[in-house]
Amino acid sequence: MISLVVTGLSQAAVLIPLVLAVSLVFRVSGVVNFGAGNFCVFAGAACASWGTHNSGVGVLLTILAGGILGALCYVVAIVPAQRKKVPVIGLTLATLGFGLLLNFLTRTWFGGEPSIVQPWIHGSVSIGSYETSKQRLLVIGLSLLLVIVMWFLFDRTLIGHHLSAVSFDHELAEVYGVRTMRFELLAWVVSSACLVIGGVFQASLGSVSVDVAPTLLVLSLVGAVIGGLGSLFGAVGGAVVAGFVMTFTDQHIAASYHLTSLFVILSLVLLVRPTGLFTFRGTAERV
Amino acid sequence: MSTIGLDKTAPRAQSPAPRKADGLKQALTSSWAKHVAGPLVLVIVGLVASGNDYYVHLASAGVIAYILTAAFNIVYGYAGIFNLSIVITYGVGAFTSVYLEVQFGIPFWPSLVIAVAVATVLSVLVAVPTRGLNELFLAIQTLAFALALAEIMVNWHKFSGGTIGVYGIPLPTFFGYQLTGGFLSYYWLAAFFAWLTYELVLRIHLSAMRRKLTALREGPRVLAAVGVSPDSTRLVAFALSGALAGLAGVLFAHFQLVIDLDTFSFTRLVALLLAAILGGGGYFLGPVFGVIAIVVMDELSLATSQAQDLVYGVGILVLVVLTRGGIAGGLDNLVKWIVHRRRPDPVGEPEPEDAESAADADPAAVTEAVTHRLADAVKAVHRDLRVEVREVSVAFGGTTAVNDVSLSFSTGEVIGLIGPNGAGKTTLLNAITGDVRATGSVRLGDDEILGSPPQNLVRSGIGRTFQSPKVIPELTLLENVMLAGDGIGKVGWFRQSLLSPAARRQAVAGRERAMTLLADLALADRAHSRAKDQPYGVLRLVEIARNLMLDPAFLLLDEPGAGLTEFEREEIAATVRALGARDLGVVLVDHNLPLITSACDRVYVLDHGQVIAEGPPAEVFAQQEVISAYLGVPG
Repeated sequence: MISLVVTGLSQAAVLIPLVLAVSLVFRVSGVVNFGAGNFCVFAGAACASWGTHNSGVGVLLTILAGGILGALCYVVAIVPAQRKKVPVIGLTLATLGFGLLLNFLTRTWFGGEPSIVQPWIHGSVSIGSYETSKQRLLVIGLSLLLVIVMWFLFDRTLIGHHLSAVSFDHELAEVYGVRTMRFELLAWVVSSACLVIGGVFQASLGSVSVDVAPTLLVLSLVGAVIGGLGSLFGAVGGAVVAGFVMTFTDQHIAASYHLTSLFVILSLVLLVRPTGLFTFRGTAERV
Repeated sequence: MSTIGLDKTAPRAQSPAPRKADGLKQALTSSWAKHVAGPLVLVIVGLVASGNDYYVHLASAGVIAYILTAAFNIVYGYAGIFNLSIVITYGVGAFTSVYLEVQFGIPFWPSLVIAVAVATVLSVLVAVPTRGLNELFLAIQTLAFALALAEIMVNWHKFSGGTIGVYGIPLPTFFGYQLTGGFLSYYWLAAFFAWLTYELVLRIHLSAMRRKLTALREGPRVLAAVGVSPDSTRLVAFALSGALAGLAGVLFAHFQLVIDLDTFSFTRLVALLLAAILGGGGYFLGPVFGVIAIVVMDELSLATSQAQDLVYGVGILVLVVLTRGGIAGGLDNLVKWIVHRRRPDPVGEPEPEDAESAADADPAAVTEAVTHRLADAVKAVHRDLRVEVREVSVAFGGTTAVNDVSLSFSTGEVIGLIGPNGAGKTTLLNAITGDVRATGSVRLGDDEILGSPPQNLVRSGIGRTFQSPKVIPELTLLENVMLAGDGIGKVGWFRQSLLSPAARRQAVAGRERAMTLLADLALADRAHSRAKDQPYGVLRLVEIARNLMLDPAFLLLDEPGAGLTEFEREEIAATVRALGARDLGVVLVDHNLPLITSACDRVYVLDHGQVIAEGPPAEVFAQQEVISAYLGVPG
């Protein structure tokens, strides 16, 4: 039982940043980022390679690189297509194209082999009869911290309100003097930073390689849809549900069937509550 | 198909019949050319490649990729469904055929048939739970399905060989002759199926099926409005593309002779998307161009040492920004541009007098002529029907938009439904046609029709127009009207897809009738222009023409005069009067009191979702209640 909770929470902790990232960009730009998995893989490989001497420097550099790449993705893939009034599917494809470029970068710079980020704290703790690494607990804590920071940023500051305005109605926000491009750019930067954080978490608990990019992409998309693409808390809820479903499947049903069980949950959610499990009036309208 | 209830001798000065003869000739020659071009190219490719093993290999791979891309082009390009699970359908086709051969010793040909059937069923199974999802959610759901199924397959070792894959795939034989993948003999096998695929797609392109699929993509409600279930059309698109994808999978497996699940992974999907979109989604030749482009790009990335991601990534980014219709779309525009330059005004030139002189002429005379011509064109097939609306209510959340409304109308009368904005007129129409959920009862004759889907209503004889006209922007006006004939005709999707003789006859008859209707509405010279380039008033008339094509017993017109010029409105009024003169029942929702007064036999006045007055127009408009509802004067 404790094993289920801790493993489930740590799965969720990895997914939370990813799902937050996907749902943030969806809200503000109306695009689902199909390059999400490639961002994570890039981050894992980059952090492993840059942090060999000092893991703190590695993490910081990686997050910085993630932000820059997010801005680049927005400028290269999204803005020109939006100017040409390309439909949503086209924009989604453009993000996929950018993801492939990232994949190429990851391969040429870091080799594309499975990369592992060394744990930031060593040792393990026992909870009852269950023993787990401290790193796992640290990641859970950091993920929680990220949620709090994001909540503060989007719910308690003017930036957050501007972002909500942009996500509701671009033109109206512009009429009110909000520089929508700037805020959209910000959303992409923050979102990519989140993707990168998720990738680093994953690499520090397990490993990442270019082959898992599609899986990570699907996990983040499915988590976002389960929770409801609309809201911050929906995203967190979706990530937690997805994390526990996967862990439960692994531990109690059949190992290596977790995508299948996630697909079943996704189908059920889309059938019964297409707006997401955690979308309520009031929360749904926020970024 | 119905005969044309039209007096051929009736004078039709404003819009002479289209030049049918050379149009038909042209269509015939061009479509013959298309039927021949495909196999010809396949044969030439085979002959050219025959000397060189590498070329034979490339040609076989390209031909198989064409089949897969054509499959995706049907479901995404034509029908607009971004179904990412197609890549696993392709994989299931491959593994199923190999499984049957290796495990049960079934020969190649029956295995092929079974594998295609399995892929088709799988594709349809994906379609069912994804109906009603928007395109992004559908993409996510189908992608998740593809990965989940791949996970199941990789765990089923007997089927897929796990992560290692399946070796020793038996060679297909053809009358004792072995066809080895990579050899010229196998190219001919693949080319044969590519030709079949080409022919099928061509027939779909030339038939009613293309109009239906385009309508599914651009406006599913229009499909329902011509009596076709959008859901079933969707299933057809999934089934067709699933079958072709499965076929491509079988051919691919026997071409490679070694397969593993990695072959059917995300990377393959990306290449497929690129081929379909680069080539031109929704264009008949799109997959051909797309596959050629992909082969070139693959060769490029081989030459530049495995930089496939780079080439594809740049390819996608450039494509998304630069092209809307891919290579095929670009060529299409180029051809149009050249034709346009050679003949500056190809459309309006034969009868330049039409539009201008019509505007100059006495409007009364014009409308008179329209009335007469339409009255001839409209036939009343259903006689003495009556629609009884009893205590119908519609509530949105806490607001009751329609409250306990009862009214009735029969064939042969024109009734008006008026009331201030927000009175619930359109909602009442929507309730009758099954667009919103309502309580109460609506009976057509003895049948309860409340709650039945819109397309069934159309089939039982109730047509409608919409407040803002719903037409398919990517189809021409003629095709928009023909859609109605395709919809209610006797020939089903199967024969339509194959363009059987019956489907051909139905299409020709529908074309003629549609052309006549457009001519009657003085739109003949615009018949071959796309709906998206046409002004609002024209679209309204097209919507009415489409409905007349259905030979309805009742026609519900939702503010047909809104947003039109004075002249256009006169034309609409004339049309409505013409309908009333025949045996049709017309329900007219409008604000224009002169129109209502002149056209309607009876009027219902709605306010706050309730009927507040009913009777002949003159009586009703004299009532104080009605005046105050309209003018806001306290009664």
